[in-house]
Amino acid sequence: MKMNRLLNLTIVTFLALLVACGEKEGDRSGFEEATVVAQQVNGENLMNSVAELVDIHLNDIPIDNSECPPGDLFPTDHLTRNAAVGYISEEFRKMGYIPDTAVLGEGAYITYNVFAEWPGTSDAEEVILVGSHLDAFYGGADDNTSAVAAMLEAARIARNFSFSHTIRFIAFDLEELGSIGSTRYVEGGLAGDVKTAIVMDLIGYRSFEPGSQKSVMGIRLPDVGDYLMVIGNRDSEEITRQITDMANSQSLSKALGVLAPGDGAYFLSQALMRSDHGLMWYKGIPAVFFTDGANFRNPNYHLASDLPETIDADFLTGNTKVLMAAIALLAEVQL
Amino acid sequence: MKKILFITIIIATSIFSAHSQDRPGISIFLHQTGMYYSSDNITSEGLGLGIGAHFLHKSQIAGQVDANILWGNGNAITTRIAAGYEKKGKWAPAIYATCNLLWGQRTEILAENGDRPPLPAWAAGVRVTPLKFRTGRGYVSALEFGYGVGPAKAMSLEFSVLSIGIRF
Repeated sequence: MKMNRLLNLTIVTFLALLVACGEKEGDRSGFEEATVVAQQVNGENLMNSVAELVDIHLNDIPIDNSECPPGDLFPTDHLTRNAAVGYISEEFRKMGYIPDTAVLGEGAYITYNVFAEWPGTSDAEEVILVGSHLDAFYGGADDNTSAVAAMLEAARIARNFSFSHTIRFIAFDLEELGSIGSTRYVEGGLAGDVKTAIVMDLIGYRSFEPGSQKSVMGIRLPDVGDYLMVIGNRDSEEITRQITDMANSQSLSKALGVLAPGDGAYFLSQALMRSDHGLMWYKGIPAVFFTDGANFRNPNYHLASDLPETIDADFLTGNTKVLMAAIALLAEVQL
Repeated sequence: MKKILFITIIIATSIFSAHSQDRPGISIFLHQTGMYYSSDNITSEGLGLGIGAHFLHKSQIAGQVDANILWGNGNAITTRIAAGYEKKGKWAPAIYATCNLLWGQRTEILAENGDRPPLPAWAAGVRVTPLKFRTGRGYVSALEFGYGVGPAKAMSLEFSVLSIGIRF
Protein backbone atom coordinates (compact mmCIF):
# COMPACT_ATOMS: atom_id res chain seq x y z
CA MET A 1 0.00 0.00 0.00
CA LYS A 2 2.75 2.36 0.98
CA MET A 3 4.67 1.41 -2.16
CA ASN A 4 1.62 2.29 -4.30
CA ARG A 5 1.38 5.70 -2.67
CA LEU A 6 5.06 6.27 -3.22
CA LEU A 7 4.73 5.23 -6.86
CA ASN A 8 1.76 7.56 -7.39
CA LEU A 9 3.58 10.42 -5.73
CA THR A 10 6.60 9.83 -7.97
CA ILE A 11 4.45 9.82 -11.12
CA VAL A 12 2.60 12.99 -10.11
CA THR A 13 5.87 14.76 -9.27
CA PHE A 14 7.38 13.71 -12.61
CA LEU A 15 4.31 14.95 -14.55
CA ALA A 16 4.34 18.24 -12.62
CA LEU A 17 8.00 18.69 -13.52
CA LEU A 18 7.27 18.04 -17.18
CA VAL A 19 4.48 20.65 -17.17
CA ALA A 20 6.69 23.16 -15.35
CA CYS A 21 9.45 22.67 -17.90
CA GLY A 22 7.09 23.06 -20.88
CA GLU A 23 7.66 25.84 -23.39
CA LYS A 24 5.58 28.97 -23.26
CA GLU A 25 4.16 30.17 -26.55
CA GLY A 26 6.24 33.02 -27.96
CA ASP A 27 4.74 36.51 -28.05
CA ARG A 28 4.73 37.82 -31.63
CA SER A 29 2.77 41.00 -31.00
CA GLY A 30 4.46 44.00 -32.54
CA PHE A 31 6.45 41.99 -35.10
CA GLU A 32 4.55 43.34 -38.10
CA GLU A 33 4.84 46.98 -37.03
CA ALA A 34 8.53 46.49 -36.31
CA THR A 35 9.05 44.97 -39.74
CA VAL A 36 7.43 47.98 -41.41
CA VAL A 37 10.03 50.19 -39.72
CA ALA A 38 12.86 47.78 -40.61
CA GLN A 39 12.02 47.91 -44.31
CA GLN A 40 13.34 51.48 -44.40
CA VAL A 41 16.92 50.26 -44.02
CA ASN A 42 18.96 51.26 -47.03
CA GLY A 43 21.92 49.06 -47.95
CA GLU A 44 23.58 51.78 -49.98
CA ASN A 45 23.68 54.11 -46.98
CA LEU A 46 25.27 51.36 -44.94
CA MET A 47 28.04 50.57 -47.39
CA ASN A 48 28.74 54.27 -47.93
CA SER A 49 29.14 54.72 -44.18
CA VAL A 50 31.45 51.70 -44.00
CA ALA A 51 33.63 53.02 -46.83
CA GLU A 52 33.85 56.53 -45.35
CA LEU A 53 34.58 55.38 -41.82
CA VAL A 54 37.20 52.84 -42.89
CA ASP A 55 38.93 55.57 -44.87
CA ILE A 56 38.84 57.80 -41.78
CA HIS A 57 40.39 55.10 -39.59
CA LEU A 58 43.13 54.37 -42.11
CA ASN A 59 44.10 58.04 -42.24
CA ASP A 60 43.86 58.73 -38.52
CA ILE A 61 46.76 58.90 -36.08
CA PRO A 62 46.89 55.82 -33.80
CA ILE A 63 46.38 56.29 -30.09
CA ASP A 64 49.30 56.49 -27.69
CA ASN A 65 49.80 52.81 -26.87
CA SER A 66 52.85 53.20 -24.65
CA GLU A 67 50.99 51.61 -21.74
CA CYS A 68 49.61 48.82 -23.85
CA PRO A 69 52.18 47.13 -26.10
CA PRO A 70 50.80 45.41 -29.19
CA GLY A 71 49.96 41.73 -29.13
CA ASP A 72 49.09 39.29 -31.87
CA LEU A 73 45.36 39.78 -31.56
CA PHE A 74 45.66 43.39 -30.42
CA PRO A 75 47.83 45.43 -32.82
CA THR A 76 47.58 48.62 -30.77
CA ASP A 77 50.10 50.32 -33.06
CA HIS A 78 47.14 50.57 -35.43
CA LEU A 79 44.29 51.46 -33.08
CA THR A 80 42.51 54.69 -34.03
CA ARG A 81 39.49 56.52 -32.67
CA ASN A 82 39.87 60.33 -32.72
CA ALA A 83 38.64 61.01 -36.24
CA ALA A 84 35.79 58.51 -35.80
CA VAL A 85 34.55 60.50 -32.79
CA GLY A 86 34.27 63.57 -34.99
CA TYR A 87 32.72 61.69 -37.91
CA ILE A 88 29.97 60.10 -35.82
CA SER A 89 29.17 63.40 -34.09
CA GLU A 90 28.90 65.09 -37.45
CA GLU A 91 26.68 62.35 -38.89
CA PHE A 92 24.30 62.67 -35.92
CA ARG A 93 24.25 66.43 -36.43
CA LYS A 94 23.47 66.09 -40.13
CA MET A 95 20.44 63.95 -39.25
CA GLY A 96 19.12 66.67 -36.97
CA TYR A 97 20.25 65.33 -33.61
CA ILE A 98 22.09 67.35 -31.02
CA PRO A 99 24.91 64.92 -30.22
CA ASP A 100 26.86 64.92 -26.99
CA THR A 101 30.04 63.24 -25.82
CA ALA A 102 30.52 61.60 -22.44
CA VAL A 103 34.19 62.28 -21.77
CA LEU A 104 35.36 59.88 -19.09
CA GLY A 105 38.77 59.13 -17.62
CA GLU A 106 41.99 60.94 -18.32
CA GLY A 107 45.44 60.54 -19.83
CA ALA A 108 46.19 58.44 -22.88
CA TYR A 109 43.10 56.36 -22.32
CA ILE A 110 40.60 59.13 -21.88
CA THR A 111 37.39 57.96 -23.54
CA TYR A 112 34.94 59.80 -25.77
CA ASN A 113 31.55 58.10 -25.88
CA VAL A 114 29.50 59.88 -28.55
CA PHE A 115 25.74 59.72 -28.20
CA ALA A 116 22.47 61.15 -29.47
CA GLU A 117 18.91 60.64 -28.30
CA TRP A 118 15.52 60.38 -29.94
CA PRO A 119 13.08 61.21 -27.12
CA GLY A 120 10.17 58.94 -26.35
CA THR A 121 6.64 60.25 -26.37
CA SER A 122 5.09 58.58 -23.32
CA ASP A 123 7.78 56.72 -21.35
CA ALA A 124 10.68 58.97 -22.21
CA GLU A 125 12.49 58.31 -18.93
CA GLU A 126 13.02 54.68 -19.95
CA VAL A 127 15.83 54.36 -22.48
CA ILE A 128 16.53 51.80 -25.15
CA LEU A 129 20.29 51.97 -25.65
CA VAL A 130 21.81 51.07 -29.01
CA GLY A 131 25.57 50.74 -28.79
CA SER A 132 28.59 49.95 -30.92
CA HIS A 133 32.25 50.77 -30.41
CA LEU A 134 33.95 53.39 -32.52
CA ASP A 135 37.62 52.47 -32.15
CA ALA A 136 39.20 50.14 -34.70
CA PHE A 137 42.40 48.34 -35.58
CA TYR A 138 43.53 49.26 -39.11
CA GLY A 139 40.45 50.06 -41.23
CA GLY A 140 38.13 47.94 -39.12
CA ALA A 141 35.49 47.40 -41.78
CA ASP A 142 33.78 44.62 -39.88
CA ASP A 143 35.25 45.47 -36.47
CA ASN A 144 33.47 47.69 -35.86
CA THR A 145 32.56 50.00 -38.71
CA SER A 146 29.82 47.59 -39.79
CA ALA A 147 28.04 48.05 -36.46
CA VAL A 148 28.60 51.82 -36.33
CA ALA A 149 27.10 52.08 -39.83
CA ALA A 150 24.08 50.05 -38.68
CA MET A 151 23.67 52.30 -35.65
CA LEU A 152 23.82 55.45 -37.80
CA GLU A 153 21.30 54.02 -40.27
CA ALA A 154 18.98 53.16 -37.38
CA ALA A 155 19.39 56.68 -35.99
CA ARG A 156 18.46 58.10 -39.40
CA ILE A 157 15.34 55.93 -39.70
CA ALA A 158 14.22 56.47 -36.10
CA ARG A 159 13.55 60.13 -36.79
CA ASN A 160 10.77 59.11 -39.19
CA PHE A 161 8.79 57.51 -36.36
CA SER A 162 7.52 58.09 -32.85
CA PHE A 163 8.34 55.69 -30.04
CA SER A 164 7.08 55.38 -26.48
CA HIS A 165 10.61 55.06 -25.08
CA THR A 166 13.66 57.22 -25.64
CA ILE A 167 16.27 55.71 -27.94
CA ARG A 168 19.89 56.48 -27.15
CA PHE A 169 22.40 55.79 -29.89
CA ILE A 170 25.89 55.59 -28.47
CA ALA A 171 29.33 54.88 -29.90
CA PHE A 172 31.57 53.59 -27.11
CA ASP A 173 35.26 54.34 -27.11
CA LEU A 174 38.22 52.00 -26.57
CA GLU A 175 36.35 48.73 -26.54
CA GLU A 176 39.41 47.10 -28.02
CA LEU A 177 41.45 47.79 -24.89
CA GLY A 178 38.93 46.10 -22.62
CA SER A 179 35.60 47.87 -23.08
CA ILE A 180 37.00 50.91 -21.29
CA GLY A 181 34.48 53.42 -22.61
CA SER A 182 31.37 51.38 -21.85
CA THR A 183 32.72 50.28 -18.47
CA ARG A 184 33.26 53.88 -17.41
CA TYR A 185 29.86 54.78 -18.78
CA VAL A 186 28.08 52.11 -16.74
CA GLU A 187 30.24 52.54 -13.64
CA GLY A 188 29.64 56.29 -13.83
CA GLY A 189 25.90 55.72 -13.45
CA LEU A 190 25.11 56.99 -16.94
CA ALA A 191 23.24 53.81 -17.82
CA GLY A 192 20.92 54.00 -14.84
CA ASP A 193 17.96 54.87 -17.03
CA VAL A 194 18.56 52.07 -19.54
CA LYS A 195 15.63 49.68 -19.75
CA THR A 196 17.19 47.49 -22.41
CA ALA A 197 20.38 47.63 -24.44
CA ILE A 198 21.33 46.32 -27.85
CA VAL A 199 25.08 46.17 -28.33
CA MET A 200 26.74 45.27 -31.62
CA ASP A 201 30.28 44.21 -32.43
CA LEU A 202 31.10 42.97 -35.96
CA ILE A 203 27.91 42.31 -37.88
CA GLY A 204 28.97 42.34 -41.54
CA TYR A 205 30.90 39.17 -42.32
CA ARG A 206 29.44 35.86 -43.38
CA SER A 207 30.60 32.78 -45.20
CA PHE A 208 28.71 29.90 -46.76
CA GLU A 209 31.70 27.56 -46.51
CA PRO A 210 31.31 24.52 -44.23
CA GLY A 211 33.64 24.90 -41.29
CA SER A 212 33.71 28.68 -41.55
CA GLN A 213 32.17 29.07 -38.10
CA LYS A 214 34.24 27.73 -35.24
CA SER A 215 33.01 26.66 -31.82
CA VAL A 216 33.27 29.26 -29.08
CA MET A 217 35.07 27.78 -26.07
CA GLY A 218 33.41 24.39 -26.46
CA ILE A 219 30.00 25.81 -27.38
CA ARG A 220 28.99 24.00 -30.55
CA LEU A 221 27.60 26.31 -33.24
CA PRO A 222 26.31 25.60 -36.75
CA ASP A 223 29.56 25.39 -38.70
CA VAL A 224 28.45 27.43 -41.72
CA GLY A 225 28.95 31.04 -40.69
CA ASP A 226 26.00 32.57 -42.49
CA TYR A 227 23.98 33.84 -39.54
CA LEU A 228 23.80 36.69 -37.06
CA MET A 229 24.27 35.66 -33.45
CA VAL A 230 21.76 37.20 -31.06
CA ILE A 231 23.19 36.59 -27.62
CA GLY A 232 21.46 37.12 -24.30
CA ASN A 233 21.64 36.05 -20.69
CA ARG A 234 19.14 35.44 -17.88
CA ASP A 235 18.14 39.11 -17.72
CA SER A 236 17.65 39.43 -21.47
CA GLU A 237 16.22 35.99 -22.17
CA GLU A 238 12.80 37.15 -23.30
CA ILE A 239 14.06 39.81 -25.70
CA THR A 240 16.71 37.46 -27.08
CA ARG A 241 14.02 34.92 -27.85
CA GLN A 242 11.73 37.56 -29.35
CA ILE A 243 14.42 39.08 -31.56
CA THR A 244 15.54 35.64 -32.77
CA ASP A 245 11.97 34.71 -33.61
CA MET A 246 11.27 38.05 -35.29
CA ALA A 247 14.44 38.00 -37.41
CA ASN A 248 13.68 34.52 -38.72
CA SER A 249 9.89 34.62 -38.99
CA GLN A 250 9.89 38.01 -40.72
CA SER A 251 12.81 36.96 -42.98
CA LEU A 252 14.90 39.95 -41.92
CA SER A 253 18.11 37.96 -41.55
CA LYS A 254 19.12 34.49 -40.51
CA ALA A 255 19.53 34.70 -36.76
CA LEU A 256 20.86 32.26 -34.21
CA GLY A 257 19.77 32.91 -30.63
CA VAL A 258 22.24 32.01 -27.90
CA LEU A 259 21.50 32.14 -24.18
CA ALA A 260 24.38 32.31 -21.73
CA PRO A 261 23.73 30.76 -18.31
CA GLY A 262 22.91 33.11 -15.45
CA ASP A 263 24.38 36.55 -15.85
CA GLY A 264 26.83 35.13 -18.39
CA ALA A 265 29.87 35.79 -16.27
CA TYR A 266 30.83 32.17 -15.70
CA PHE A 267 34.29 30.96 -16.60
CA LEU A 268 33.25 28.80 -19.54
CA SER A 269 30.73 31.23 -21.08
CA GLN A 270 32.59 34.50 -20.67
CA ALA A 271 33.51 34.59 -24.38
CA LEU A 272 29.87 35.51 -24.94
CA MET A 273 30.21 38.72 -22.93
CA ARG A 274 33.35 39.91 -24.67
CA SER A 275 32.19 43.39 -25.72
CA ASP A 276 30.48 46.53 -24.46
CA HIS A 277 27.50 44.62 -23.06
CA GLY A 278 29.79 42.82 -20.60
CA LEU A 279 29.47 45.18 -17.67
CA MET A 280 25.76 45.62 -18.38
CA TRP A 281 25.33 41.89 -17.86
CA TYR A 282 27.30 42.09 -14.61
CA LYS A 283 25.12 44.98 -13.45
CA GLY A 284 21.85 43.28 -14.34
CA ILE A 285 20.93 45.60 -17.22
CA PRO A 286 19.03 43.55 -19.83
CA ALA A 287 21.31 43.61 -22.85
CA VAL A 288 21.34 41.64 -26.06
CA PHE A 289 24.46 41.32 -28.17
CA PHE A 290 24.61 41.12 -31.97
CA THR A 291 27.73 39.69 -33.61
CA ASP A 292 28.86 37.69 -36.60
CA GLY A 293 31.21 35.67 -34.41
CA ALA A 294 34.33 37.87 -34.62
CA ASN A 295 37.56 35.83 -34.64
CA PHE A 296 35.56 32.62 -34.49
CA ARG A 297 34.45 33.35 -38.07
CA ASN A 298 36.09 36.36 -39.69
CA PRO A 299 39.66 35.58 -40.90
CA ASN A 300 40.35 39.33 -41.17
CA TYR A 301 39.78 39.94 -37.47
CA HIS A 302 42.17 42.63 -36.20
CA LEU A 303 44.18 42.51 -39.42
CA ALA A 304 44.96 45.05 -42.12
CA SER A 305 42.75 43.01 -44.43
CA ASP A 306 39.57 44.02 -42.53
CA LEU A 307 38.43 46.17 -45.44
CA PRO A 308 35.06 47.10 -46.99
CA GLU A 309 35.34 44.50 -49.77
CA THR A 310 35.15 41.74 -47.12
CA ILE A 311 31.78 42.99 -45.92
CA ASP A 312 28.70 41.19 -47.25
CA ALA A 313 26.34 44.06 -48.09
CA ASP A 314 23.19 41.90 -48.07
CA PHE A 315 24.12 40.39 -44.74
CA LEU A 316 24.84 43.77 -43.19
CA THR A 317 21.58 45.14 -44.59
CA GLY A 318 19.60 42.22 -43.19
CA ASN A 319 21.26 42.52 -39.81
CA THR A 320 20.54 46.24 -39.71
CA LYS A 321 16.91 45.40 -40.39
CA VAL A 322 16.99 43.09 -37.37
CA LEU A 323 18.45 45.95 -35.35
CA MET A 324 15.83 48.41 -36.54
CA ALA A 325 13.00 45.98 -35.93
CA ALA A 326 14.33 45.22 -32.46
CA ILE A 327 14.50 48.94 -31.67
CA ALA A 328 10.93 49.42 -32.91
CA LEU A 329 9.73 46.49 -30.82
CA LEU A 330 11.53 47.45 -27.62
CA ALA A 331 10.95 51.18 -27.86
CA GLU A 332 7.32 50.54 -28.89
CA VAL A 333 6.93 52.26 -32.22
CA GLN A 334 3.69 54.16 -32.73
CA LEU A 335 2.48 53.75 -36.29
CA MET B 1 48.80 14.57 -6.92
CA LYS B 2 49.10 11.01 -8.24
CA LYS B 3 50.95 9.96 -5.09
CA ILE B 4 48.28 11.46 -2.86
CA LEU B 5 45.58 9.69 -4.81
CA PHE B 6 47.40 6.37 -4.69
CA ILE B 7 48.05 6.65 -0.96
CA THR B 8 44.42 7.60 -0.32
CA ILE B 9 43.21 4.53 -2.18
CA ILE B 10 45.63 2.22 -0.35
CA ILE B 11 44.71 3.61 3.08
CA ALA B 12 40.99 3.51 2.42
CA THR B 13 41.23 -0.01 1.05
CA SER B 14 43.25 -1.17 4.03
CA ILE B 15 40.84 0.31 6.54
CA PHE B 16 37.74 -1.06 4.91
CA SER B 17 39.10 -4.45 3.95
CA ALA B 18 39.08 -5.73 7.52
CA HIS B 19 35.53 -6.93 6.99
CA SER B 20 33.88 -9.28 4.57
CA GLN B 21 33.90 -8.32 0.92
CA ASP B 22 31.10 -9.92 -1.06
CA ARG B 23 28.04 -9.28 1.01
CA PRO B 24 25.12 -7.82 -0.99
CA GLY B 25 23.86 -4.46 0.15
CA ILE B 26 23.48 -0.78 -0.32
CA SER B 27 26.32 1.71 -0.17
CA ILE B 28 26.01 5.45 0.04
CA PHE B 29 28.81 7.10 -1.87
CA LEU B 30 30.37 10.49 -2.31
CA HIS B 31 32.49 11.40 -5.27
CA GLN B 32 34.16 14.20 -7.09
CA THR B 33 32.93 14.44 -10.67
CA GLY B 34 33.41 16.35 -13.89
CA MET B 35 31.27 16.46 -16.98
CA TYR B 36 31.15 17.95 -20.46
CA TYR B 37 27.91 17.73 -22.42
CA SER B 38 27.71 19.16 -25.89
CA SER B 39 24.87 18.94 -28.37
CA ASP B 40 23.67 21.09 -31.25
CA ASN B 41 21.72 23.22 -28.81
CA ILE B 42 23.09 22.68 -25.30
CA THR B 43 26.51 23.00 -23.73
CA SER B 44 26.83 22.06 -20.09
CA GLU B 45 30.06 21.48 -18.26
CA GLY B 46 31.80 21.74 -14.96
CA LEU B 47 33.50 20.15 -12.00
CA GLY B 48 31.73 19.31 -8.79
CA LEU B 49 30.59 16.84 -6.19
CA GLY B 50 27.98 14.15 -6.04
CA ILE B 51 26.19 11.80 -3.69
CA GLY B 52 24.44 8.59 -4.53
CA ALA B 53 23.46 5.07 -3.65
CA HIS B 54 25.08 1.90 -4.96
CA PHE B 55 23.20 -1.40 -4.92
CA LEU B 56 24.86 -4.77 -5.25
CA HIS B 57 22.95 -8.00 -5.85
CA LYS B 58 24.61 -11.41 -5.74
CA SER B 59 28.00 -9.74 -5.64
CA GLN B 60 27.97 -8.99 -9.36
CA ILE B 61 24.81 -7.19 -10.45
CA ALA B 62 25.14 -3.54 -9.60
CA GLY B 63 22.86 -0.52 -9.75
CA GLN B 64 23.57 3.08 -8.98
CA VAL B 65 21.70 6.37 -8.67
CA ASP B 66 23.31 9.67 -7.89
CA ALA B 67 22.92 13.43 -8.07
CA ASN B 68 25.73 15.86 -8.71
CA ILE B 69 26.22 19.58 -8.73
CA LEU B 70 28.75 21.04 -11.13
CA TRP B 71 30.30 24.46 -11.41
CA GLY B 72 32.06 25.98 -14.40
CA ASN B 73 29.31 27.12 -16.71
CA GLY B 74 26.72 28.12 -14.16
CA ASN B 75 25.26 25.67 -11.69
CA ALA B 76 24.42 22.41 -13.42
CA ILE B 77 22.84 19.40 -11.78
CA THR B 78 23.06 15.89 -13.13
CA THR B 79 21.05 12.93 -11.99
CA ARG B 80 22.18 9.54 -13.14
CA ILE B 81 20.86 6.03 -13.05
CA ALA B 82 23.05 3.10 -13.93
CA ALA B 83 22.97 -0.67 -13.99
CA GLY B 84 25.84 -2.99 -14.69
CA TYR B 85 28.13 -5.83 -13.94
CA GLU B 86 30.89 -5.95 -11.36
CA LYS B 87 33.66 -8.49 -11.06
CA LYS B 88 33.59 -10.51 -7.86
CA GLY B 89 36.30 -10.06 -5.30
CA LYS B 90 38.26 -7.28 -3.74
CA TRP B 91 39.28 -5.77 -7.05
CA ALA B 92 35.88 -5.24 -8.67
CA PRO B 93 36.13 -3.41 -11.98
CA ALA B 94 32.70 -2.70 -13.36
CA ILE B 95 30.90 -1.57 -16.46
CA TYR B 96 27.53 0.17 -16.34
CA ALA B 97 24.86 1.23 -18.77
CA THR B 98 23.91 4.74 -17.73
CA CYS B 99 21.23 7.32 -18.33
CA ASN B 100 22.05 10.89 -17.31
CA LEU B 101 19.60 13.74 -16.91
CA LEU B 102 21.05 17.26 -16.92
CA TRP B 103 19.30 20.10 -15.14
CA GLY B 104 20.20 23.61 -14.19
CA GLN B 105 22.17 26.22 -16.06
CA ARG B 106 23.72 25.67 -19.46
CA THR B 107 24.51 27.57 -22.62
CA GLU B 108 21.63 27.21 -25.03
CA ILE B 109 21.21 27.60 -28.77
CA LEU B 110 17.64 28.66 -29.45
CA ALA B 111 15.39 27.29 -32.17
CA GLU B 112 14.56 29.58 -35.10
CA ASN B 113 11.36 30.63 -33.36
CA GLY B 114 13.20 31.44 -30.16
CA ASP B 115 12.19 28.31 -28.29
CA ARG B 116 14.64 27.04 -25.74
CA PRO B 117 15.94 23.48 -25.90
CA PRO B 118 14.24 20.93 -23.65
CA LEU B 119 14.96 20.64 -19.96
CA PRO B 120 16.30 18.27 -18.84
CA ALA B 121 18.85 17.27 -21.45
CA TRP B 122 19.83 13.63 -21.39
CA ALA B 123 22.41 11.18 -22.57
CA ALA B 124 22.65 7.42 -22.45
CA GLY B 125 25.89 5.50 -22.55
CA VAL B 126 28.41 3.48 -20.64
CA ARG B 127 30.61 4.05 -17.64
CA VAL B 128 33.63 2.02 -16.62
CA THR B 129 35.20 1.84 -13.19
CA PRO B 130 38.48 0.00 -13.71
CA LEU B 131 39.95 0.75 -10.29
CA LYS B 132 37.16 -0.21 -7.98
CA PHE B 133 38.02 -2.05 -4.80
CA ARG B 134 35.45 -3.60 -2.51
CA THR B 135 36.01 -3.42 1.18
CA GLY B 136 34.20 -4.68 4.19
CA ARG B 137 32.55 -1.34 4.73
CA GLY B 138 31.95 -0.35 1.15
CA TYR B 139 34.22 0.41 -1.72
CA VAL B 140 36.76 2.82 -3.12
CA SER B 141 36.91 3.62 -6.80
CA ALA B 142 39.34 5.78 -8.71
CA LEU B 143 39.37 7.15 -12.25
CA GLU B 144 35.89 6.36 -13.50
CA PHE B 145 35.06 7.34 -17.05
CA GLY B 146 31.75 7.65 -18.87
CA TYR B 147 30.67 8.35 -22.41
CA GLY B 148 27.16 8.88 -23.67
CA VAL B 149 25.13 10.10 -26.58
CA GLY B 150 21.78 11.85 -26.74
CA PRO B 151 19.42 13.91 -28.85
CA ALA B 152 20.63 16.70 -31.17
CA LYS B 153 23.95 14.89 -31.68
CA ALA B 154 24.69 15.13 -28.00
CA MET B 155 27.93 13.80 -26.63
CA SER B 156 28.53 13.42 -22.94
CA LEU B 157 31.89 12.86 -21.28
CA GLU B 158 32.22 12.39 -17.56
CA PHE B 159 34.90 11.38 -15.14
CA SER B 160 35.42 10.91 -11.47
CA VAL B 161 38.81 10.93 -9.81
CA LEU B 162 37.69 9.34 -6.58
CA SER B 163 34.51 7.76 -5.28
CA ILE B 164 34.07 6.35 -1.82
CA GLY B 165 31.08 4.22 -0.82
CA ILE B 166 30.11 3.22 2.70
CA ARG B 167 27.90 0.18 3.15
CA PHE B 168 24.84 0.23 5.40
